[in-house]
Parts: sequence; structure tokens; C-alpha cells
Amino acid sequence: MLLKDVLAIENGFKYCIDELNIQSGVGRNYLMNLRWQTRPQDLELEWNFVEEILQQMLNSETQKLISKIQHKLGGIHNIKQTILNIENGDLLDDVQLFEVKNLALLSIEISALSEEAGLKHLFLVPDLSEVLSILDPDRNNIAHFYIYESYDPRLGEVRNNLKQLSNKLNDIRTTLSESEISDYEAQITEIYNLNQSIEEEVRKTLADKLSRHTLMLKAALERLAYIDLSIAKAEQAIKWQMSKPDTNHTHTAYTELFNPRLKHALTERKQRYQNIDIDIKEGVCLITGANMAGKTVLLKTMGIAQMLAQFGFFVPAKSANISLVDKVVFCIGDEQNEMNGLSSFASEILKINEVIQDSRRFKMMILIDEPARTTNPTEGKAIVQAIASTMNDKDSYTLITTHYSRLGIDCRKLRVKGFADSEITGTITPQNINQYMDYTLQEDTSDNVPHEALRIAEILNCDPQLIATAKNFLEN
Amino acid sequence: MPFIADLQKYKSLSIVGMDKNTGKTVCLNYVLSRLRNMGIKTAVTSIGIDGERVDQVFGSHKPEITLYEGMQFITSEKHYNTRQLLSKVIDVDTERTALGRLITAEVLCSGKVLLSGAGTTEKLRRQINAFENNNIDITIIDGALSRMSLASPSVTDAMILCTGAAVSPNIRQLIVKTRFTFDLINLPAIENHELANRLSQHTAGLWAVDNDGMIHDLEIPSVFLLEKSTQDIFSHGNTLYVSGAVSDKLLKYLSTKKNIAEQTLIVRDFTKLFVTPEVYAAYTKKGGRIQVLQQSKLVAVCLNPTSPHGYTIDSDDACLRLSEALGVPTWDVCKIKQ
Repeated sequence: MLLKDVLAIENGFKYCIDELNIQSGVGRNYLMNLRWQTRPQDLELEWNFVEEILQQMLNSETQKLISKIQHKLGGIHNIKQTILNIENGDLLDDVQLFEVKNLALLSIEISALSEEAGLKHLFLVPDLSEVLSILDPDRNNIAHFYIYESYDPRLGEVRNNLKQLSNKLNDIRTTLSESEISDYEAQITEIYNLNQSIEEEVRKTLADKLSRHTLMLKAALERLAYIDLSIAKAEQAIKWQMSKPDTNHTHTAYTELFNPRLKHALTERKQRYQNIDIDIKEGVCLITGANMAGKTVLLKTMGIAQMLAQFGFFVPAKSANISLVDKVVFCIGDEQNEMNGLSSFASEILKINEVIQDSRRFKMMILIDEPARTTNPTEGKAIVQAIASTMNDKDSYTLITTHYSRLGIDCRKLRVKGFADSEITGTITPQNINQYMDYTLQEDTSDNVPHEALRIAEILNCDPQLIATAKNFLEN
Repeated sequence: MPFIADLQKYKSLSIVGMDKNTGKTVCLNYVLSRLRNMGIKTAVTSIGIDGERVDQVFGSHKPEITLYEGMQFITSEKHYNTRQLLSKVIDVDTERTALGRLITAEVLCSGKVLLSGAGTTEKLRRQINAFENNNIDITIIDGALSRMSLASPSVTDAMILCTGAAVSPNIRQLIVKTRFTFDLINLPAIENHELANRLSQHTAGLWAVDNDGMIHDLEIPSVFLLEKSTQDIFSHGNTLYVSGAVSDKLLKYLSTKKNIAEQTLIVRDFTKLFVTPEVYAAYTKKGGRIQVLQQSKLVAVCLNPTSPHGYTIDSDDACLRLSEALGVPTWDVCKIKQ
């Protein structure tokens, strides 16, 4: 499973990826092809790499050098095709040779900067100085390229002749007849063609020399892409106050977990965002709570953090200790597909069916938002009971939000605290309602769910007649 | 050596044609041949695909561009590889065009090249800035087809207008059409610089300017939606500012208003006017005035006496009559070399 395949699954995850400050096309390419990792030791390597960069970035002097490295990384072009051409023994034109020289120069400069920043042992940029010496015979150390005169002693003379003749023609052109101009131009073309044939010989030599360095070129390109991505990861981890996860095999726990996209949106509107603590174990965990208590956001955030971690990123929490899974599955119910002729219930139940079958083979994180809420409550409740009891003895982590009470399943239950009545001071509006919500999760041993729907309708100033009628029905 | 000395004043110059085959490339070659040896560091590029050996539309002969030692140029990868000159690559753009990436290079020994450049004026502007930062004195943009947008003063400092038999084989018609474009280019800039500066901040919609120079949003996002609006657009006075394109439709609409004789329409620059001579004439005849935020600097008018259909007009006669009609000298691009 590659990152690009799962990017569209959850917008909040895509947000984290889109916000990465990656400089080069090869870096972005590397990012899109990141693999889902399931072995703790592989992830440790990734996270430690990011951690080391992050530590260096906290030092303002090193930070400046890393910014310089980022600037250089921005100049890296994807020259995979050119490297393939070299491997095939093709002749390269000036533009391709320029690109190879540019890569060599930049990687040498980045290597030097990383040494200055004390990161050389970490970045380990392959040494392309031999490639540079092939393409920079005059040791100018600038990213210009043409077939230099020093490649072949004949070139200097040919080009001098060419220049002299061209200049002469340019000087006296207006005094010449058409046929005289043609004569000059024919001579110039002849010398130009001679120059081209010598250049051709030089290109052959260059292609031959460069062909011994294709492995190094590929390695450098790949390494620079990896460095680009890793710096971006570290930068994001600092900016968003993310943390390096620990791993274990039995539970997934976060302190002060947050949803980056939502947190940033609320912060921008100067509204409060409450981080939450959570600890889930294998099996089922039911999440209950009033409407608007952030249950769906919690599911999404758990999925996002898990995905970030397993692609080698830090996670949006103060601390994290996670159990690695084979995949994350979202059943959040926005996937109603009328185009397929499926109702919301049908598409939901098919997805859940798939998950249950998969859970026999894979260890997963399964996030199900209010299953069976679009069908009749009698059968709906039975379906939720069936899902919960089926999944409870699996080693997957299944999080289910629900409004059904008395499910009678012996599984973990967490409840969002909900409205803090004592806090309410002014008028509550749909805009400020989240200020009065306490999103803290607490263990719930009862089998009941909060009955706060009417209260919320009241708070939101819905028609009193409607609410009174509803209460009437409820009592009778 | 006509008009070349004037060029030293500008950082960028566009060469635009009223039509295809009005001699833009011949004119560019003339300018470049003169700039050679003048110690002016010159860069050349074009907008879109141009510089084809054979004209893309009519299939007629089209001269290549001759560049001289020390000049810099931008062209696509495809055209770079077919160049007939010695040059060194100094930069490669990451963006791809239909003809490959754009290559920036410096000429080592003079020769010929086909030019193809950026697709948008925005990109062009960035290239001009980059050249300026690299100590280039003047960047010259070869126009494509009859695109005028690159002559916008927000893109290039000065322009050369090319006209010729391709516009009309009838000299009288040619003069009328050229005169019309000339008039638009020379539309007066508004005198209040501070107001011009404030107006230029608005990049969309229709705005009213009152007598105190206050700008009011008429909340009409595009002049094309004008007819749907019930608002009195002259409630703040007789001056309007349109930040985007102005078409015949708007001028016709404004012509029907009773305050037409007092109206002033401000546009960004002449390249935003997509109006026909007839409608423009009707509008101005009734007293309507058009002003621009920034006026374009027209350096010269050049004439190509040969049309792509093979028809040739009398060059001396045409140049003379154009010069009289415009009040500025007009040069025959084919003869200018001598």
C-alpha cells in the first residue's frame, strides 16, 4: 500500500500531507510512493531520522543551514530519464548534460552544508565529485554547460574560425549582395557542422565516462529526495507540536491527541480546540456521547494519527504509544453512492461486511461511525450488537460510535463528557456551542447512552412547539 | 539608425503585430543587429510558439532570429536542440511546455535560433525580472500571432507595433486600422497617480469613482453581468473603472446612458480593450472618454509591405501616409536594414 493510494481516503490526512513543505519534485514523488510500514524496527529508523533533524532544527544556527539546504533542494530536477539514457549508452544533449552537472553540483553543495550543520553522518549524500569533474573540466563550479573547448583541442580552433567568419559577416552584411551573403553562410554552416561532429565525439566520450556513475547518480537523487521529505516532516513536527510515537503490541494510547485540520481551522477563527487523551485496547470500544460531542472527529483523528505513524511521520499528540496494524478502515458513512444505485444503508453494510471478512486475515484499525443509523432502530440495534460482539474477540482495534443504548455487549465503553452546564454563561448559538462542550473521554460502565438530543435542539433555539411535542411523545 | 537609441531607456520591450505576418521577426532581427556592439546586455524570448521556420498558419517563409555573442535567450528544449549557433545552457525550467522545458542560454558565437517561450504573461514577467536580476539591460519579447497582452505596461516597459499588408492590402484601410490601434495605445493615463495606484489594487469587477476620488464597489463582478444588475452605476458620479476586459457590449451600453458626454471610463491599459473601431468611434463621438491607469510607451511603428498572400503594397507611399496619419515615423522593416 502506497501513500498515493490512500491519500483520498480521509481529507484530514490529505491535509497533513498537502501541508508538508517539500522543495523538489523528486521529494514529492518520494512522498507519494511511501510504503505503509508494519515493522516497528523500520518505523523506528524513519522516526529517529526525523527526530535527529528536528533536534538540530531547534538550534537557530543549524536551522539557518538547513534552510539553505532546503533552498538547494528546490533546484533538484528529476533526471531519472536522463540517467536511464546514460545507462542505455545514449548520447546526451547539452540540456541533459547540464541537468546531470546541476545534480552533481547541488549534491556536493548540500553535502558541504550538511557537514557544516553537523548532519553529514546523518544525511550521507553520495559523493558526485567525480561526475562533476567530468562535466566541469575547467573547474568553474558553476551550473553552466556546453561542450567546453578543453574537451578537445580541435574545438578551440574551429570555434575561433567560426566566430571570425560570423563576426565578419555581421559587420559587412549590409554591403553584400544576396549571393555573397549566401556564400558566407555556406562557409559558416560548413565550419558549424565540423564543430558539431567534434562535439559528437566528445559526447560519446562523456556518455562512456558517465555510464560508470549511474548507480551513484540514482543513489544521490533518491537520497536527496529522502532528505527533502525528512526535513519537511521534521519542520511540520515542530510547527504542529507533533511527537514521535512508541510502539507496542496491545494497545494504542495518545495524550493530547488533536486533529490538525480542525485545530488549525478553529484556531484561525479564534475558537477553542480541546486535545483529548485516549487509550484503546484490542477488541471493540464503543464511543457514546451527545450529538455535537465530536465523536466522528475522534474516529477520524484516530485514523489520521495511525496512518501518519505508519507512513513514518510524527503524530499529532503530546505523546503516543501505538500498536501497528495492517490497515486502517474508515466506515464514516459519507460514502453513500447513489451512482451505484446503493442506498446509504446498503453501501454501509457492504463495507462493514468486507471489514468483518478482512478481520480474519488482518490486524486492523476499524473506525465505524454510528452503524445502522439509517434503518429501523429495532434491527439497527441488533446489527450494532452483532458487529460489536463479532469484533470484540478479534485482535483488531474497532472503534464504534453509537446512540443505541443497552446493547448488552461486554466491551469497553468510552463516553464524551458533553455539555458542561456550570460553564454556560451567555446565550448559546450554533457558532459558540463548542465552547461549552467538554470533549474529555471517560470510562462508562453503564449500558445507557446520553439522552441529550432534545436538550441540544433547545439550546439551538429550535421551535419550542416542536420540542414540547417531542417531549410529549417521549413521556407517553 | 532609427529609434534604437531610445531603447536604452527601457528594461523590456515587446514587439507586437496587428496581425500575423506584419514583420515582427524582421523587426526583431533589425533591433538585435543594432544592439550588437552597443554594449547593451540583451536577452530575448517570446510568448507562446513562434520563430517557426515555416509560418504555422500560412506556410510561408519566415526568418529565423539571429542572436549575437553575449546575448541571452529563452527557448524550448525542442528549439534549443535545433539551434544553429554556439551557446551554453545556464538554466533549465522545471515546467514543461508543449515543446519541452524552457532553456535559458547565452550565445557564444552568433547564429540562428527558433524562439518559443512562456505561455502566460505572468511567467513572462517572472522571466523579465530574472533577466533584470542577472544584469541584463534589456529583455526583448517577440510577440506571437496578434497577441497584444505582452505589450501591457504591466509586462513590458515599451513596445514596437508592427503593421503591414497583412492587415489590409488597401493602404487606406491599413491606415484606418493602424490608426485605431495607435489611438488605443496612446489613450491618456489618468492624472491622479495616487488614485491610479489605488485602482490598480482591484483586480476584478466594476467600480465607481466619485468626485473626491473615493472608490465604490458596484458589486458587479464582471461587466458581462452589467445588464442583470438593477443598480444605478452612476450613483457615485460619471467615472467608472473596469479592471478586466472591456468589450463592445459595455461601450454600447454606456453609449445609451444620458450622461454619456460626461462619462469617463478608466481601464487598466489598452490591452484590456477588445473593441471594434466602429463602436469605439460611436462612443467617443457621443462624448465618452476612456483613460488608462498606465500608458504604453510606443517606440516605433514598423511596416511589412508584403502580405502572406503574396500581395505587396507600395512601401514608400504607405510609410509616408502612415507617418502623416499617426504623427510618428513609420519604418519599412525590409528597408530599414540599409
